[in-house]
Amino acid sequence: MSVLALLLFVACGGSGPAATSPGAAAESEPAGMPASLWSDVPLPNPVEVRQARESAEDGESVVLRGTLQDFGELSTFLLVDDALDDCTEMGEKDHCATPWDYCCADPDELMRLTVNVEVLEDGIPGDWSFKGQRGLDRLTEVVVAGTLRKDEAGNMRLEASRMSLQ
Amino acid sequence: MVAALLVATASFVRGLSGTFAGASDPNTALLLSKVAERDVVRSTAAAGLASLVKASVPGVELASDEIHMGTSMVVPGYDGERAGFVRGVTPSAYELHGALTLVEGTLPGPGEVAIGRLVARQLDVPESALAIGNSLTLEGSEHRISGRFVAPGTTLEAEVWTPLVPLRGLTQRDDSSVVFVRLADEKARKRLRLFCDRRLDLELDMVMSADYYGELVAYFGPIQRMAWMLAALIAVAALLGGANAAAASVQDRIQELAALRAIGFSTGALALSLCVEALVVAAFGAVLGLFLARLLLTGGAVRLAMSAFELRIDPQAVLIGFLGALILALAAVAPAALRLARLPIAAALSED
Repeated sequence: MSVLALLLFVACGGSGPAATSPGAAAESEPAGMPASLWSDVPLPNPVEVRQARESAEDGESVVLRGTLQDFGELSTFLLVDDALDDCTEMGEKDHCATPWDYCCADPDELMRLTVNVEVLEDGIPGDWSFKGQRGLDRLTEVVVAGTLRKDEAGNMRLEASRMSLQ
Repeated sequence: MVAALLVATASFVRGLSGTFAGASDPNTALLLSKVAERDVVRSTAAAGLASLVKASVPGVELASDEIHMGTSMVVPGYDGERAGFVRGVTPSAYELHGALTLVEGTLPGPGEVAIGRLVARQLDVPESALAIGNSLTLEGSEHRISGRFVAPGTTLEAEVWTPLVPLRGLTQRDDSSVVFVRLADEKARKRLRLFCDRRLDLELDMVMSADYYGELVAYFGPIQRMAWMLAALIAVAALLGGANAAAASVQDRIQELAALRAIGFSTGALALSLCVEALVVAAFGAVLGLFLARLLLTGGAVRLAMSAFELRIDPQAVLIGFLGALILALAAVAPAALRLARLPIAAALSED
Protein backbone atom coordinates (compact mmCIF):
# COMPACT_ATOMS: atom_id res chain seq x y z
CA MET A 1 0.00 0.00 0.00
CA SER A 2 2.85 2.34 0.93
CA VAL A 3 4.73 1.49 -2.24
CA LEU A 4 1.56 2.16 -4.24
CA ALA A 5 1.13 5.56 -2.53
CA LEU A 6 4.77 6.41 -3.21
CA LEU A 7 4.44 5.47 -6.86
CA LEU A 8 1.26 7.55 -7.12
CA PHE A 9 3.08 10.52 -5.52
CA VAL A 10 6.05 10.18 -7.89
CA ALA A 11 3.72 9.82 -10.85
CA CYS A 12 1.75 12.95 -9.88
CA GLY A 13 4.97 14.88 -9.25
CA GLY A 14 6.30 13.90 -12.64
CA SER A 15 3.22 14.99 -14.51
CA GLY A 16 2.92 18.41 -12.74
CA PRO A 17 5.24 20.55 -14.84
CA ALA A 18 4.05 18.94 -18.05
CA ALA A 19 0.51 19.94 -17.13
CA THR A 20 1.45 23.59 -16.61
CA SER A 21 3.96 23.93 -19.44
CA PRO A 22 2.83 23.25 -22.96
CA GLY A 23 6.30 22.29 -24.18
CA ALA A 24 10.01 22.29 -23.57
CA ALA A 25 10.48 25.58 -25.41
CA ALA A 26 7.91 27.28 -23.19
CA GLU A 27 9.66 26.00 -20.05
CA SER A 28 12.75 28.02 -20.88
CA GLU A 29 10.64 31.07 -21.75
CA PRO A 30 11.12 33.91 -19.23
CA ALA A 31 7.92 35.03 -17.51
CA GLY A 32 6.02 37.71 -19.37
CA MET A 33 7.82 37.83 -22.67
CA PRO A 34 5.80 36.19 -25.46
CA ALA A 35 7.69 33.39 -27.20
CA SER A 36 6.51 34.66 -30.56
CA LEU A 37 8.37 37.96 -30.00
CA TRP A 38 11.87 36.54 -29.94
CA SER A 39 13.88 35.37 -32.90
CA ASP A 40 17.15 33.50 -32.40
CA VAL A 41 18.12 34.48 -35.94
CA PRO A 42 18.90 38.17 -36.56
CA LEU A 43 15.99 39.84 -38.32
CA PRO A 44 16.81 40.70 -41.96
CA ASN A 45 17.18 44.11 -43.61
CA PRO A 46 17.18 46.39 -40.58
CA VAL A 47 17.53 50.17 -40.91
CA GLU A 48 19.01 52.73 -38.53
CA VAL A 49 16.78 54.77 -36.21
CA ARG A 50 18.00 57.93 -37.95
CA GLN A 51 16.84 56.59 -41.31
CA ALA A 52 13.44 55.67 -39.93
CA ARG A 53 13.00 59.15 -38.49
CA GLU A 54 13.84 60.74 -41.79
CA SER A 55 11.87 58.54 -44.15
CA ALA A 56 9.37 56.28 -42.39
CA GLU A 57 5.76 57.37 -42.00
CA ASP A 58 3.41 56.93 -39.08
CA GLY A 59 1.93 53.42 -39.19
CA GLU A 60 4.65 52.02 -41.44
CA SER A 61 6.14 48.58 -40.75
CA VAL A 62 9.87 48.84 -40.15
CA VAL A 63 12.79 46.79 -38.89
CA LEU A 64 15.06 48.93 -36.71
CA ARG A 65 18.62 48.28 -35.62
CA GLY A 66 19.98 50.03 -32.54
CA THR A 67 21.34 49.89 -29.01
CA LEU A 68 19.12 49.16 -26.04
CA GLN A 69 19.52 52.25 -23.90
CA ASP A 70 17.43 51.47 -20.84
CA PHE A 71 14.49 49.35 -19.75
CA GLY A 72 11.07 50.70 -18.96
CA GLU A 73 9.11 49.30 -16.05
CA LEU A 74 6.45 47.93 -18.35
CA SER A 75 7.16 45.90 -21.51
CA THR A 76 9.14 48.75 -23.09
CA PHE A 77 12.70 49.86 -23.68
CA LEU A 78 14.45 52.77 -25.31
CA LEU A 79 16.33 52.05 -28.52
CA VAL A 80 19.09 54.44 -29.62
CA ASP A 81 20.71 54.75 -33.02
CA ASP A 82 24.00 52.82 -33.16
CA ALA A 83 25.78 55.87 -34.56
CA LEU A 84 25.40 57.73 -31.28
CA ASP A 85 28.33 57.17 -28.92
CA ASP A 86 27.53 56.13 -25.38
CA CYS A 87 29.82 57.17 -22.56
CA THR A 88 32.01 54.05 -22.86
CA GLU A 89 32.93 55.10 -26.38
CA MET A 90 34.31 58.50 -25.41
CA GLY A 91 37.89 57.28 -25.29
CA GLU A 92 38.40 57.35 -21.54
CA LYS A 93 38.32 54.25 -19.39
CA ASP A 94 35.72 54.43 -16.59
CA HIS A 95 34.59 57.73 -18.08
CA CYS A 96 31.12 57.40 -16.66
CA ALA A 97 29.41 55.17 -14.08
CA THR A 98 26.13 55.13 -16.03
CA PRO A 99 27.18 55.01 -19.70
CA TRP A 100 23.74 53.90 -20.88
CA ASP A 101 22.22 57.29 -20.07
CA TYR A 102 24.21 58.84 -22.95
CA CYS A 103 24.85 61.87 -20.76
CA CYS A 104 27.87 62.71 -22.89
CA ALA A 105 25.75 62.98 -26.04
CA ASP A 106 23.89 66.07 -27.18
CA PRO A 107 20.41 65.85 -25.57
CA ASP A 108 18.63 67.05 -28.70
CA GLU A 109 20.48 64.55 -30.85
CA LEU A 110 19.74 61.81 -28.32
CA MET A 111 16.03 62.64 -28.36
CA ARG A 112 16.00 62.67 -32.16
CA LEU A 113 17.73 59.30 -32.42
CA THR A 114 15.74 57.46 -29.76
CA VAL A 115 12.61 55.39 -30.17
CA ASN A 116 10.52 53.83 -27.42
CA VAL A 117 9.96 50.17 -28.22
CA GLU A 118 6.74 48.75 -26.77
CA VAL A 119 5.12 45.34 -26.73
CA LEU A 120 1.41 45.99 -26.51
CA GLU A 121 -1.13 43.76 -24.83
CA ASP A 122 -4.71 44.92 -25.37
CA GLY A 123 -3.44 48.23 -26.67
CA ILE A 124 -1.12 49.09 -23.75
CA PRO A 125 2.35 47.88 -22.74
CA GLY A 126 2.26 44.70 -20.68
CA ASP A 127 3.03 44.61 -16.98
CA TRP A 128 6.42 42.94 -17.37
CA SER A 129 9.89 44.19 -18.13
CA PHE A 130 12.52 43.23 -20.69
CA LYS A 131 15.14 43.46 -17.95
CA GLY A 132 17.00 40.17 -17.66
CA GLN A 133 15.04 38.53 -20.49
CA ARG A 134 17.02 36.54 -23.07
CA GLY A 135 20.27 38.01 -21.74
CA LEU A 136 19.20 41.52 -22.69
CA ASP A 137 21.07 44.25 -20.89
CA ARG A 138 21.66 47.96 -21.28
CA LEU A 139 23.76 48.75 -24.36
CA THR A 140 22.89 45.41 -26.00
CA GLU A 141 22.62 45.80 -29.77
CA VAL A 142 19.25 44.54 -30.99
CA VAL A 143 17.01 44.47 -34.04
CA VAL A 144 13.28 45.09 -33.63
CA ALA A 145 10.48 44.75 -36.17
CA GLY A 146 7.13 46.44 -35.72
CA THR A 147 4.87 49.32 -36.57
CA LEU A 148 6.26 52.82 -36.21
CA ARG A 149 4.18 55.52 -34.52
CA LYS A 150 5.02 59.23 -34.62
CA ASP A 151 3.32 61.96 -32.60
CA GLU A 152 2.99 65.68 -33.32
CA ALA A 153 5.96 66.51 -31.10
CA GLY A 154 8.21 64.25 -33.16
CA ASN A 155 8.44 61.40 -30.68
CA MET A 156 8.66 57.92 -32.15
CA ARG A 157 7.57 54.63 -30.70
CA LEU A 158 7.70 51.21 -32.19
CA GLU A 159 4.96 48.68 -31.51
CA ALA A 160 7.19 45.62 -31.62
CA SER A 161 6.17 42.29 -33.11
CA ARG A 162 9.57 40.55 -33.42
CA MET A 163 13.02 41.15 -32.06
CA SER A 164 16.47 39.60 -32.05
CA LEU A 165 20.06 40.34 -31.27
CA GLN A 166 22.09 41.98 -34.04
CA MET B 1 28.20 69.72 29.47
CA VAL B 2 28.94 66.55 27.52
CA ALA B 3 25.31 65.51 27.83
CA ALA B 4 24.19 68.91 26.54
CA LEU B 5 26.60 68.64 23.65
CA LEU B 6 25.47 65.15 22.74
CA VAL B 7 21.83 66.24 22.85
CA ALA B 8 22.67 69.24 20.66
CA THR B 9 24.45 67.03 18.14
CA ALA B 10 21.71 64.42 18.12
CA SER B 11 18.99 67.05 17.72
CA PHE B 12 20.94 68.70 14.88
CA VAL B 13 21.46 65.44 13.01
CA ARG B 14 17.94 64.19 13.60
CA GLY B 15 16.47 67.57 12.71
CA LEU B 16 18.44 67.73 9.47
CA SER B 17 17.69 64.21 8.28
CA GLY B 18 14.14 64.21 9.66
CA THR B 19 13.24 67.45 7.90
CA PHE B 20 14.21 66.19 4.46
CA ALA B 21 12.85 62.71 5.07
CA GLY B 22 9.64 64.24 6.42
CA ALA B 23 9.02 66.04 3.15
CA SER B 24 8.92 62.77 1.22
CA ASP B 25 5.75 60.88 0.37
CA PRO B 26 5.77 57.29 -0.95
CA ASN B 27 2.95 58.02 -3.41
CA THR B 28 4.40 61.18 -4.88
CA ALA B 29 6.76 61.51 -7.84
CA LEU B 30 8.66 64.52 -9.11
CA LEU B 31 9.07 65.31 -12.79
CA LEU B 32 12.25 67.29 -13.36
CA SER B 33 14.17 68.15 -16.49
CA LYS B 34 16.88 65.64 -17.31
CA VAL B 35 19.59 68.24 -17.66
CA ALA B 36 18.97 69.55 -14.12
CA GLU B 37 20.55 66.43 -12.63
CA ARG B 38 17.89 66.31 -9.95
CA ASP B 39 18.40 69.89 -8.83
CA VAL B 40 14.89 71.21 -8.44
CA VAL B 41 15.99 74.86 -8.67
CA ARG B 42 17.89 74.35 -11.94
CA SER B 43 15.11 72.25 -13.42
CA THR B 44 12.68 73.59 -16.01
CA ALA B 45 9.44 71.89 -16.99
CA ALA B 46 7.01 73.01 -19.67
CA ALA B 47 4.14 75.17 -18.44
CA GLY B 48 0.95 73.16 -18.23
CA LEU B 49 2.78 69.87 -17.82
CA ALA B 50 0.72 69.05 -14.74
CA SER B 51 -2.52 69.23 -16.74
CA LEU B 52 -1.00 67.17 -19.53
CA VAL B 53 0.16 64.48 -17.10
CA LYS B 54 -3.18 64.36 -15.35
CA ALA B 55 -5.00 64.01 -18.66
CA SER B 56 -2.57 61.48 -20.15
CA VAL B 57 -1.69 59.10 -17.34
CA PRO B 58 -4.40 56.96 -15.74
CA GLY B 59 -3.98 56.73 -11.97
CA VAL B 60 -2.65 60.25 -11.44
CA GLU B 61 -4.69 61.73 -8.60
CA LEU B 62 -3.09 65.16 -8.44
CA ALA B 63 -0.44 67.06 -10.33
CA SER B 64 1.05 70.35 -9.28
CA ASP B 65 3.12 72.70 -11.47
CA GLU B 66 5.56 74.55 -9.24
CA ILE B 67 8.38 77.05 -9.48
CA HIS B 68 11.12 76.57 -6.88
CA MET B 69 13.62 79.37 -6.62
CA GLY B 70 16.07 80.95 -4.27
CA THR B 71 15.87 84.71 -4.35
CA SER B 72 16.69 87.85 -2.44
CA MET B 73 13.97 89.30 -0.27
CA VAL B 74 13.63 92.63 1.46
CA VAL B 75 11.74 92.96 4.72
CA PRO B 76 10.58 96.58 5.13
CA GLY B 77 12.27 98.20 8.13
CA TYR B 78 15.28 95.90 7.95
CA ASP B 79 18.37 96.75 5.98
CA GLY B 80 19.68 94.69 3.15
CA GLU B 81 18.54 91.79 1.03
CA ARG B 82 18.08 88.39 2.58
CA ALA B 83 18.31 85.05 0.82
CA GLY B 84 15.09 83.05 0.94
CA PHE B 85 13.28 80.26 -0.84
CA VAL B 86 10.12 80.93 -2.85
CA ARG B 87 7.68 78.39 -4.25
CA GLY B 88 5.20 79.39 -6.92
CA VAL B 89 2.12 77.19 -6.62
CA THR B 90 -1.33 76.49 -7.95
CA PRO B 91 -4.25 75.44 -5.70
CA SER B 92 -3.33 71.78 -6.39
CA ALA B 93 -0.15 72.21 -4.34
CA TYR B 94 -2.13 72.80 -1.13
CA GLU B 95 -3.94 69.54 -1.70
CA LEU B 96 -0.87 67.59 -2.75
CA HIS B 97 1.48 68.67 0.05
CA GLY B 98 -0.61 67.26 2.86
CA ALA B 99 1.85 68.23 5.61
CA LEU B 100 1.04 71.90 5.10
CA THR B 101 -1.63 73.50 7.30
CA LEU B 102 -2.62 77.14 7.12
CA VAL B 103 -2.76 78.32 10.73
CA GLU B 104 -3.37 82.03 10.27
CA GLY B 105 -4.83 84.28 7.56
CA THR B 106 -5.76 83.15 4.07
CA LEU B 107 -4.14 81.46 1.11
CA PRO B 108 -2.24 83.97 -1.04
CA GLY B 109 -3.78 85.56 -4.10
CA PRO B 110 -1.97 87.64 -6.73
CA GLY B 111 0.45 90.04 -5.05
CA GLU B 112 0.34 88.06 -1.82
CA VAL B 113 2.47 85.46 -0.10
CA ALA B 114 1.98 82.87 2.61
CA ILE B 115 4.98 82.25 4.81
CA GLY B 116 6.15 79.16 6.66
CA ARG B 117 6.76 79.03 10.38
CA LEU B 118 10.56 79.17 10.06
CA VAL B 119 10.80 81.94 7.45
CA ALA B 120 11.42 84.70 10.01
CA ARG B 121 14.35 82.74 11.43
CA GLN B 122 15.57 81.92 7.95
CA LEU B 123 15.53 85.64 7.04
CA ASP B 124 16.94 86.57 10.46
CA VAL B 125 14.15 88.99 11.36
CA PRO B 126 11.70 88.96 14.31
CA GLU B 127 8.41 87.10 13.87
CA SER B 128 6.57 90.43 14.22
CA ALA B 129 8.24 91.71 11.04
CA LEU B 130 6.39 89.07 9.05
CA ALA B 131 2.97 89.44 10.67
CA ILE B 132 -0.17 89.08 8.56
CA GLY B 133 -0.78 92.29 6.63
CA ASN B 134 2.90 93.26 6.54
CA SER B 135 4.74 93.27 3.27
CA LEU B 136 7.67 91.37 1.86
CA THR B 137 9.51 92.40 -1.29
CA LEU B 138 10.59 89.66 -3.65
CA GLU B 139 11.81 89.98 -7.22
CA GLY B 140 11.47 93.75 -6.82
CA SER B 141 7.76 93.58 -6.15
CA GLU B 142 6.06 94.19 -2.83
CA HIS B 143 3.82 91.36 -1.64
CA ARG B 144 1.32 91.41 1.17
CA ILE B 145 1.63 88.61 3.70
CA SER B 146 -1.79 86.96 3.65
CA GLY B 147 -1.22 83.81 5.69
CA ARG B 148 1.11 81.69 7.79
CA PHE B 149 1.45 77.95 7.57
CA VAL B 150 3.09 75.11 9.40
CA ALA B 151 4.35 71.82 7.99
CA PRO B 152 6.04 70.10 10.93
CA GLY B 153 9.16 68.13 10.16
CA THR B 154 9.46 69.25 6.54
CA THR B 155 11.48 71.78 4.54
CA LEU B 156 8.26 73.58 3.57
CA GLU B 157 8.31 75.58 6.80
CA ALA B 158 11.22 77.71 5.61
CA GLU B 159 9.51 78.61 2.33
CA VAL B 160 7.48 81.54 1.02
CA TRP B 161 4.54 80.44 -1.16
CA THR B 162 2.93 82.63 -3.78
CA PRO B 163 0.63 81.99 -6.77
CA LEU B 164 2.44 80.48 -9.75
CA VAL B 165 1.26 82.64 -12.65
CA PRO B 166 2.11 86.06 -11.14
CA LEU B 167 5.51 84.67 -10.13
CA ARG B 168 6.10 83.59 -13.73
CA GLY B 169 5.45 87.18 -14.77
CA LEU B 170 7.78 88.59 -12.14
CA THR B 171 10.60 86.24 -13.00
CA GLN B 172 9.96 86.54 -16.75
CA ARG B 173 9.83 82.83 -17.29
CA ASP B 174 7.11 80.85 -18.98
CA ASP B 175 7.91 77.46 -17.51
CA SER B 176 7.83 75.69 -14.15
CA SER B 177 10.63 74.09 -12.17
CA VAL B 178 9.03 70.80 -11.33
CA VAL B 179 5.76 68.92 -11.35
CA PHE B 180 4.75 67.00 -8.25
CA VAL B 181 2.48 64.06 -9.08
CA ARG B 182 0.46 62.04 -6.60
CA LEU B 183 -0.08 58.49 -7.82
CA ALA B 184 -2.90 56.15 -6.97
CA ASP B 185 -0.85 52.96 -7.03
CA GLU B 186 2.18 51.12 -8.37
CA LYS B 187 0.59 50.71 -11.80
CA ALA B 188 0.19 54.48 -12.04
CA ARG B 189 3.87 54.88 -11.23
CA LYS B 190 4.82 52.58 -14.10
CA ARG B 191 2.48 54.42 -16.45
CA LEU B 192 3.99 57.76 -15.47
CA ARG B 193 7.40 56.34 -16.31
CA LEU B 194 5.97 55.20 -19.66
CA PHE B 195 4.71 58.74 -20.25
CA CYS B 196 8.25 60.08 -19.69
CA ASP B 197 9.70 57.48 -22.08
CA ARG B 198 7.13 58.26 -24.75
CA ARG B 199 7.37 62.05 -24.43
CA LEU B 200 11.10 62.28 -25.05
CA ASP B 201 10.63 65.84 -26.33
CA LEU B 202 9.84 66.95 -22.78
CA GLU B 203 13.19 65.55 -21.52
CA LEU B 204 11.74 64.50 -18.20
CA ASP B 205 13.42 62.73 -15.35
CA MET B 206 10.98 61.01 -13.01
CA VAL B 207 12.06 60.43 -9.44
CA MET B 208 9.98 59.23 -6.53
CA SER B 209 9.75 61.72 -3.70
CA ALA B 210 11.26 59.26 -1.19
CA ASP B 211 14.31 58.77 -3.44
CA TYR B 212 14.69 62.48 -4.08
CA TYR B 213 14.64 63.47 -0.42
CA GLY B 214 16.72 60.39 0.48
CA GLU B 215 19.42 61.68 -1.88
CA LEU B 216 19.23 65.08 -0.20
CA VAL B 217 19.72 63.46 3.22
CA ALA B 218 22.72 61.56 1.81
CA TYR B 219 24.05 64.82 0.36
CA PHE B 220 24.13 66.32 3.85
CA GLY B 221 25.71 63.14 5.27
CA PRO B 222 29.21 64.67 5.54
CA ILE B 223 27.83 67.55 7.63
CA GLN B 224 26.13 65.07 9.94
CA ARG B 225 29.29 62.97 10.23
CA MET B 226 31.32 66.08 10.97
CA ALA B 227 28.92 67.02 13.77
CA TRP B 228 29.27 63.55 15.30
CA MET B 229 33.06 63.70 14.97
CA LEU B 230 33.13 67.05 16.75
CA ALA B 231 30.98 65.59 19.52
CA ALA B 232 33.29 62.57 19.71
CA LEU B 233 36.37 64.78 20.04
CA ILE B 234 34.81 66.73 22.90
CA ALA B 235 33.68 63.46 24.49
CA VAL B 236 37.26 62.16 24.33
CA ALA B 237 38.50 65.35 25.98
CA ALA B 238 35.84 64.92 28.66
CA LEU B 239 36.83 61.29 29.08
CA LEU B 240 40.47 62.16 29.64
CA GLY B 241 39.54 64.92 32.07
CA GLY B 242 37.16 62.58 33.89
CA ALA B 243 39.77 59.81 34.07
CA ASN B 244 42.25 62.26 35.54
CA ALA B 245 39.73 63.44 38.14
CA ALA B 246 38.81 59.84 39.05
CA ALA B 247 42.49 58.88 39.42
CA ALA B 248 43.09 61.85 41.69
CA SER B 249 40.00 61.00 43.72
CA VAL B 250 41.13 57.39 44.20
CA GLN B 251 44.69 58.46 44.98
CA ASP B 252 43.40 60.79 47.69
CA ARG B 253 41.58 57.88 49.34
CA ILE B 254 44.01 55.09 48.51
CA GLN B 255 44.83 54.24 52.13
CA GLU B 256 41.16 54.16 53.17
CA LEU B 257 40.35 51.94 50.21
CA ALA B 258 43.32 49.67 51.02
CA ALA B 259 42.11 49.45 54.61
CA LEU B 260 38.70 48.34 53.40
CA ARG B 261 40.37 45.62 51.34
CA ALA B 262 42.43 44.58 54.41
CA ILE B 263 39.30 44.04 56.52
CA GLY B 264 37.72 41.84 53.86
CA PHE B 265 36.02 43.93 51.18
CA SER B 266 36.66 42.39 47.79
CA THR B 267 38.30 44.29 44.94
CA GLY B 268 35.11 43.88 42.92
CA ALA B 269 32.99 45.47 45.62
CA LEU B 270 35.33 48.46 45.85
CA ALA B 271 35.41 48.85 42.04
CA LEU B 272 31.62 48.66 42.05
CA SER B 273 31.41 51.40 44.67
CA LEU B 274 33.70 53.60 42.57
CA CYS B 275 31.51 52.98 39.52
CA VAL B 276 28.32 53.76 41.43
CA GLU B 277 29.90 56.93 42.75
CA ALA B 278 30.90 57.98 39.21
CA LEU B 279 27.46 57.11 37.83
CA VAL B 280 25.64 59.15 40.47
CA VAL B 281 27.82 62.19 39.82
CA ALA B 282 27.52 61.73 36.02
CA ALA B 283 23.74 61.28 36.20
CA PHE B 284 23.41 64.46 38.21
CA GLY B 285 25.61 66.32 35.72
CA ALA B 286 23.74 64.80 32.80
CA VAL B 287 20.38 65.97 34.14
CA LEU B 288 21.79 69.47 34.54
CA GLY B 289 23.17 69.27 30.99
CA LEU B 290 19.82 68.11 29.65
CA PHE B 291 18.08 71.04 31.32
CA LEU B 292 20.68 73.35 29.82
CA ALA B 293 20.18 71.84 26.36
CA ARG B 294 16.42 72.12 26.68
CA LEU B 295 16.73 75.74 27.74
CA LEU B 296 19.08 76.73 24.94
CA LEU B 297 17.96 74.56 22.06
CA THR B 298 14.17 74.33 22.28
CA GLY B 299 12.63 76.12 19.32
CA GLY B 300 16.06 76.69 17.83
CA ALA B 301 16.43 76.56 14.07
CA VAL B 302 19.46 76.13 11.89
CA ARG B 303 19.75 77.98 8.59
CA LEU B 304 21.15 75.88 5.80
CA ALA B 305 21.67 77.57 2.45
CA MET B 306 18.22 78.87 1.49
CA SER B 307 16.39 76.52 3.81
CA ALA B 308 16.12 76.07 7.55
CA PHE B 309 15.22 73.27 9.90
CA GLU B 310 14.27 73.07 13.53
CA LEU B 311 16.43 71.30 16.10
CA ARG B 312 14.61 68.19 17.20
CA ILE B 313 15.03 67.43 20.93
CA ASP B 314 13.14 64.17 20.98
CA PRO B 315 13.38 61.19 23.38
CA GLN B 316 16.13 59.61 21.27
CA ALA B 317 18.29 62.74 21.50
CA VAL B 318 17.76 62.93 25.27
CA LEU B 319 18.59 59.24 25.61
CA ILE B 320 21.78 59.66 23.57
CA GLY B 321 22.86 62.56 25.79
CA PHE B 322 22.06 60.85 29.09
CA LEU B 323 23.47 57.42 28.22
CA GLY B 324 26.53 59.03 26.63
CA ALA B 325 27.33 60.84 29.88
CA LEU B 326 26.91 57.62 31.94
CA ILE B 327 29.08 55.56 29.58
CA LEU B 328 31.80 58.21 29.62
CA ALA B 329 31.70 58.24 33.43
CA LEU B 330 32.17 54.46 33.58
CA ALA B 331 35.00 54.61 31.05
CA ALA B 332 36.67 57.41 33.01
CA VAL B 333 36.60 55.56 36.33
CA ALA B 334 37.80 52.24 34.89
CA PRO B 335 41.58 53.00 34.91
CA ALA B 336 41.44 54.17 38.55
CA ALA B 337 39.47 51.08 39.58
CA LEU B 338 41.96 48.86 37.73
CA ARG B 339 44.91 50.47 39.48
CA LEU B 340 43.23 49.99 42.86
CA ALA B 341 42.64 46.31 42.10
CA ARG B 342 46.24 45.68 41.01
CA LEU B 343 47.99 47.54 43.85
CA PRO B 344 49.00 45.23 46.74
CA ILE B 345 47.30 46.15 50.02
CA ALA B 346 50.61 46.74 51.82
CA ALA B 347 51.86 49.07 49.07
CA ALA B 348 48.54 50.94 49.03
CA LEU B 349 48.59 51.40 52.80
CA SER B 350 52.10 52.82 52.67
CA GLU B 351 51.36 55.30 49.84
CA ASP B 352 51.40 58.96 50.77
